Amino acid sequence: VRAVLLAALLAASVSVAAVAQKTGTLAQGLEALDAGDYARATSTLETALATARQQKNQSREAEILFYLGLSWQKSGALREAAESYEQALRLRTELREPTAPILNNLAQTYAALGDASRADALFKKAVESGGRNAAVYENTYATFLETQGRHKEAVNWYRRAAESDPTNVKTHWNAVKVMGAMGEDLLPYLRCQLVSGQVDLALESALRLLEEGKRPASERPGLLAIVAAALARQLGDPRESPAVRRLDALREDPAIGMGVQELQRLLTGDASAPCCDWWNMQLFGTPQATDAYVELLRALGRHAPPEAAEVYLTRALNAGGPSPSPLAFLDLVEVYYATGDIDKLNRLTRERSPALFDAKGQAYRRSAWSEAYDFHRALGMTYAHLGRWGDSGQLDSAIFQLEHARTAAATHNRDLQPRAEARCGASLEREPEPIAIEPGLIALLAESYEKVGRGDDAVRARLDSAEEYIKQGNRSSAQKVLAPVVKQLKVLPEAERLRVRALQRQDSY
Amino acid sequence: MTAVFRPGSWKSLWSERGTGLTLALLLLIPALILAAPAAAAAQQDPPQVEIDFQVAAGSLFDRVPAQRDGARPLIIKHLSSLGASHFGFLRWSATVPRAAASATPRLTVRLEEVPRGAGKDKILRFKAHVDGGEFDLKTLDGVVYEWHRLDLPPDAAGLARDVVHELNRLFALDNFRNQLHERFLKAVPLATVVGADAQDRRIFVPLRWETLQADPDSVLRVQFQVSGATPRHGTMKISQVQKRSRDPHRGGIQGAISLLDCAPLLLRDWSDDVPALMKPEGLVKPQVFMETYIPRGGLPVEDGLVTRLGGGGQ
Repeated sequence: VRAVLLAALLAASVSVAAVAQKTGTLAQGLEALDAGDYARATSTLETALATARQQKNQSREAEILFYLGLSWQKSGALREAAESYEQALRLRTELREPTAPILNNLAQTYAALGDASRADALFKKAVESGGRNAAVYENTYATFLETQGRHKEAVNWYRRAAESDPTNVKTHWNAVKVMGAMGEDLLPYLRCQLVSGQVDLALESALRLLEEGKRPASERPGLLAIVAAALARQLGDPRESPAVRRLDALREDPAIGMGVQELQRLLTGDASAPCCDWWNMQLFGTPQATDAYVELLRALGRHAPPEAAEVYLTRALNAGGPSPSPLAFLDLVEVYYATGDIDKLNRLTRERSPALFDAKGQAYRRSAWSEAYDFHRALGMTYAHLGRWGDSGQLDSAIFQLEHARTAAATHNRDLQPRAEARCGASLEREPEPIAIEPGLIALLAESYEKVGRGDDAVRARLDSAEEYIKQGNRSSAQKVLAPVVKQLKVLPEAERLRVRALQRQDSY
Repeated sequence: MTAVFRPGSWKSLWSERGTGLTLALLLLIPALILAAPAAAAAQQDPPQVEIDFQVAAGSLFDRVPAQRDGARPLIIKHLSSLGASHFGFLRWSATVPRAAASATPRLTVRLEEVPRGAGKDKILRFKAHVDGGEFDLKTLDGVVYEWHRLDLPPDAAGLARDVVHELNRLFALDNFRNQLHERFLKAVPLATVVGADAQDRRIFVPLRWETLQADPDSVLRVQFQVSGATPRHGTMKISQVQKRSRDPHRGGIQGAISLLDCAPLLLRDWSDDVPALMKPEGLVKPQVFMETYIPRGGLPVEDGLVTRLGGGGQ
């Protein structure tokens, strides 16, 4: 027994050494590949391949064939590279293992061999099967298209790569470079970047393009609007952005110089510095610029003491022409409410509500439910701050406005079209998305009902909203709106009690 | 005859017939050495950043303090994974409780209340601890609960969900990531050893390429002092960062000098003066930092060619 054990142990140790040696061969092949010693890489990988075949380890065989192809390719032996990749591809397809890296490299090989149509087909397959690395393959495909002189298609694929992986800075600069060289309109692309949270990238791109001075005059106001919107979307005070200093170089630009100077006055001067004819004028040519300007004023207001915030936000309210920004209005309401200046709050509401109601009416006429929601929400919260609870038929009351905010949101969500292929680019805002009413708004509506003795309606509003949230899979919000109802479960009528229990029973709750 | 293993069999083999086993083990040891990567010893993994989450918004949990404790591990775990996926050049882990102050860099996220409107916003505030100092990263604040929001989370899971939601929003913003790097992470020393290779005209750093996860367009900054009659301070920037294949025991990554400022020496490229300046015996307190970080993509790609097959991905 001892002899058998000893022999088994020895055999095991030899086997461990052999496995280590074989693994080492692949590792050594990769090391030689990394060092650029392709002759050594090829020979060690061929040894490893023979071993893998001997062991009938097809998965390892495919892996080694891939690296062998890479080694051939890097040494310039393209036919041999193609053969290795083809074998690796066949094996991995049989084994149902990922093939995108092989497809990509094989496509590159055929491209180098001058077989563009075969390369093109393989690149497309790589992109289709690229999974979470799709951006890598979209980028290499775009580069291939660029070298083929198919610039328009290259631009599209660079854009797709940048959208697939918005944090990939290199892909972004490739896209900007090619689009710039082709004279493409860069604005939709940069707006997409801004919308997807790549604020610094959009800011840097727009500034660089303006500084280079090569973009047409028609595009420059749009680029400056991106600068303003990106400054507004910085975390922290926009005035502290390093980009502010770079505006100096653009002060004399014939197309945007005046806008730049006004921007500088906003960012470096006091809140009441004379400003901003250029930006207000843009409403007629580049409405996104006015939106960006309003956004910047709101951001400045957020970071300013109350007196200065009042000036910035009043400017933001005046900037929208006949249609004031409901968000700027609500910001200003909150400044007055926070400082306890109820007189100013009353005056603001009295003076601005006609324009707000008018703009809301226009939003209804255009079936712009999302805009209508913003107006109702702003007015509803304002009236609640003022204690004007009112009722369902009284226009200038919290109950009326908040009820209609819910209706507008529901209509918007019902009418929402499926997402189009081009996801963004037309405006500085996100493409329409479902409105998720914040639980705070429901709570405010319920509180308004309670204030006027409509406790049953308060419970109903909470229960209806909880059901809606559960339908949307928003468990957290459902719990929040339902919590006060659960507390008074014992005093509820039987029907409501049953509804609460039904909601609590649902798995999603 | 079949060998049957019984409890105690191995013990008796050890004691009674040591010679045969010793031989077998002698054979095993070289095999294991062969299997081990030859240059692993000289290369270091990136340094660690500890993460902590605290609740300072007292009113939020006055009645149910247990919620805070329940949410903490969930939030720290999520923050670690966000840190690792966006800043892979550092290792992210939960703060280890210690009696004394630690020199390990730390990022603390606190849920705080700040006056706003007619109430208080509940915000996430980031605090950095590095190099013995502690400072607020106020501009990175994220709002979890606005002051007029009347409903607060009913339990720990709700709190964790709301905080995680805001953390995800912040990390998705490049402005947040850039500021976090600029104001904190670029001050974390990655290595304290650096050397020059005259033959390759490259600077090497003993960091493991595979775990650094930096794209070659990233830039490292080296700060150092040169000893001598008149000690000098120097700064060097290293670009074209890549894996060091030759002579890997000296360092896992290498790069080219893009700036070297050590008066009177001012270079924007390699110079034959560099090896003498970078001699280990003359260098005092060299520290390597990540000046500009561009994360390496999910797959290593060179000139459009995928150079490594990923694990389970594509």
